[in-house]
Amino acid sequence: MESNRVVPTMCHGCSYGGYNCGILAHVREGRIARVEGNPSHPLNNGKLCAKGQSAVQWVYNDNRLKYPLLRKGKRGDGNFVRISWDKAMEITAGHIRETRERYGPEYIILSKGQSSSWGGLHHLLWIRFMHALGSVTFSNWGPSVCYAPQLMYHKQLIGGPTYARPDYDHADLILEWFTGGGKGGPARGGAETLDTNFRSIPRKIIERLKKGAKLVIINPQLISIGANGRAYKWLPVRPGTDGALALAMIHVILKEELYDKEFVSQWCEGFKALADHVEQYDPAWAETITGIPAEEIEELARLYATTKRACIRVSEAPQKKDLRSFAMAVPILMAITGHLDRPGGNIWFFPPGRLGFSTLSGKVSRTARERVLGADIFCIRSSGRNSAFSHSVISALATGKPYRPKAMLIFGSNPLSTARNPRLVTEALQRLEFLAVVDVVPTPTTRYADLILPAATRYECSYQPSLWENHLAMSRKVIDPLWETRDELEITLDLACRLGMEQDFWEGRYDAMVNDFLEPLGVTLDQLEQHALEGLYLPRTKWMDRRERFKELFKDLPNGKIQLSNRIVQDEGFEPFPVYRGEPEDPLNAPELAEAFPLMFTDEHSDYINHHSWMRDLPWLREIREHPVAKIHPATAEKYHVRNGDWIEIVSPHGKMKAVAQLFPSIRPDTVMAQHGWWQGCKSLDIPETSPLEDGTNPNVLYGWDHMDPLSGDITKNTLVRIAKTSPPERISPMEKGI
Amino acid sequence: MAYGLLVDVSKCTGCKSCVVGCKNWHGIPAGEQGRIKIVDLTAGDYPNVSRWIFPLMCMQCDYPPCVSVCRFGAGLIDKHGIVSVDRNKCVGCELCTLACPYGVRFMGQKGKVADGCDLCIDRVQEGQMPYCVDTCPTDALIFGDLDDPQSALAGLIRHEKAQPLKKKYRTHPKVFYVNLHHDPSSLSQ
Repeated sequence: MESNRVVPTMCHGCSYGGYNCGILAHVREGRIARVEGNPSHPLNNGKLCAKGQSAVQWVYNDNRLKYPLLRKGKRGDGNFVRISWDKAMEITAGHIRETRERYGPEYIILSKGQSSSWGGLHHLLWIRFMHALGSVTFSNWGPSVCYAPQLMYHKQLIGGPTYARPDYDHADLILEWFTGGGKGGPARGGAETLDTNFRSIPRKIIERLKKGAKLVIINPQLISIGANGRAYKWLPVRPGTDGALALAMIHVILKEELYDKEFVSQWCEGFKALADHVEQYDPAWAETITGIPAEEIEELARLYATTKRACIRVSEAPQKKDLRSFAMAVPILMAITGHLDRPGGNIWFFPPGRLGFSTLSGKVSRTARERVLGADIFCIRSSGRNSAFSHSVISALATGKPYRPKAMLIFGSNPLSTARNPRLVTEALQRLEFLAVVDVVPTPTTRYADLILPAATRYECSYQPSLWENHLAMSRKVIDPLWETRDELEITLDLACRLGMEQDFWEGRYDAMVNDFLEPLGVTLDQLEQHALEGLYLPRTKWMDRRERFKELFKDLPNGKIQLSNRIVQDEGFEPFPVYRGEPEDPLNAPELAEAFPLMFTDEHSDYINHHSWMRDLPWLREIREHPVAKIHPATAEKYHVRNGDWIEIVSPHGKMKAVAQLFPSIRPDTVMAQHGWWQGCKSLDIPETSPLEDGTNPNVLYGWDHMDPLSGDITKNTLVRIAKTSPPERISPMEKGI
Repeated sequence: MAYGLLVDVSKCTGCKSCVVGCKNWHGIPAGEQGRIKIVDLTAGDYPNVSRWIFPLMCMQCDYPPCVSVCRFGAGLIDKHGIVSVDRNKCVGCELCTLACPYGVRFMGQKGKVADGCDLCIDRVQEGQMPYCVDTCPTDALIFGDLDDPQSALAGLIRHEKAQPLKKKYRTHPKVFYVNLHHDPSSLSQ
């Protein structure tokens, strides 16, 4: 490679593998000196967010895992010795082979995190790898509690293959309902979502506001997209009570006959029964639950129903035990007001084609599919038992019921920091006979591994094509992998070949795999590489740009109609309508508990300068916020004698965490809002690592593990806490990296 | 020709892309203040609050106190009015960082040399925009020639009634703010 050059590639920030912001990497003397946005890339048009700007610190980070490491001593102690790649791969292949032969393929688990994108090249390859082994025990910690549960309800009610997404580009009213407002990645959609159409959220919203659109923020805190005079209204809803707000809006819309009569009569079923059911949910009732004045609820309902082009964005954030009421009420709202698949409403976006190769699902044995962990949860059972449910995997490992998996491969996931009940996760991981973790940096999870494999960053990896709408783009290698790091796709191909599956894995040839991935679009790797800077634009299809595609979109619903009264839920033994129950740990539902734990607690997942549990060790980002924060209203802080910047302990009925108080006037005074994903230190700023367990900095210790929605498996992100000033958390010694 | 900048506060989300982007482009290490900082203020009482977030950078004053206080001739104003530091002459006395009413001068190069935003003078000379202007995800920053009444910048300042911050210091900044409905005099340093 030339030593001075500018290489077009894609950002590693929100994920790798998938369609991200275009980047121009400036290489000087063989080293990436700086990056800028690629102006020819239609997603970010030359823009970049703070995380993308920090690429150089992500790549040239002394904290990175550099060599394959084998555990020495007890699990969890963090002592490892350096070994060769060949030996590491032989050990891994040996354990997989042995587990498969001795126990069966379902005893092998593969888990990925947010880092490698959903539905991208990595994801498909790993599913194919598991299927080729005969297993469906593919498990994701994150989506089980955020993306998938709400989607399950939306699909049952209003159909479509994905969420009906906000058509920001044409909206005159935008409801940001417990979202980050694009905070995850302001140059695109961000970490908070994999919904590829609404990238560049802040930009799209701001453009519409300039044309007179209104923005309503429904969130316990005033998020920054609503600052600077942009929010027409901020409704600081009590955390966890969004379902009551949505139900009262339905009540008002039906009572005042503001619904779309034509759409309802033609495309909806169960209207009369729904109307009878929501009679009880009047705004006065909702005021007592949500803390939003009844007249404001009425006004919002009227505004939404009577604005022709109005969209709602619900993020994955409202994780609840009572998700059912919220996740059923929101699509009902969209449907009865006629806002579905119409310009400016919530519409379904489709690319003109799909990337991908076969996942070889025919290779999965019937036994393995029947025994998939989590089949007792409706969402797994009803979707063909295609993957395991992470909550059930953790339980199965810890309890041995219904059986205990033996070997696990984790690619870019850190469940100790991101899954609920981290103590149980450590117990679960220690029950494995073999755990290999592939990651860029050592994490709390790698401490429990038998083998740690150092992953290359996207800047060091080969071609990763991806599609967004009709734009096909590809990231490419900017520099050779540093130290002995290695592309995860190459690791997977190598492993497959060592397991004798080379005929299903392109004989280990990377480019052949990529060509197979591109094949459905009729494009080759060479053709795409000739358009490295700008990518390729596929012809748009009529279907993509058509709206009101009701017949086609609703065809899989009973009678081809929207289910205002939901039979699927009814068949499972629940009311067919959204019934508000609220969260178990809420002052209204648990007044005695609230005496000892007087404040409501939840946490936010998306942020300008962090991505889930990574990137806290990049100095440019870390200096902006050195420690995990909990946002607290100044009046509340004063009551508990807490000052801005004080370390506080946050204690719930389930556990205790620590955070630095951020006095934040734009939050409900009865609410404490922390952030998830904090554990990492930052060596160059002399900030130590902290524990993901009790007394550390992880909000997941505070939530009730059993407060789960029985249908979707969603777990609550709401609890009650008390706070007090405390000392900083214990410093955790960095893991021995065997260098 | 007089280069200036307009911050359209209604477009700023406080995402810190400019803050980190500037460090990325200019190779400014963590631990130094950097050339841009973000202010996040809330006025009013819950729930009737008004939250304001916007960037601060060198205001490119026509009468820059940082230049006036420098006894070593290290404060520069070029023919287009861009204020910068002559690194060869700066002795690191820090006086300019104290003189700046906006708190945007800082000590760079491990405290040896004063530093501040120079509107990416090197990029501008090559016909490019300052880096932050190009990279801002929401186009909240507009760069141009204040002396050219036809420029988008001058037009916007005129029509939108843009104002500099802290006018009371009478330093005549060339960085203007629009759609900021918050009393900027309450800004702390």
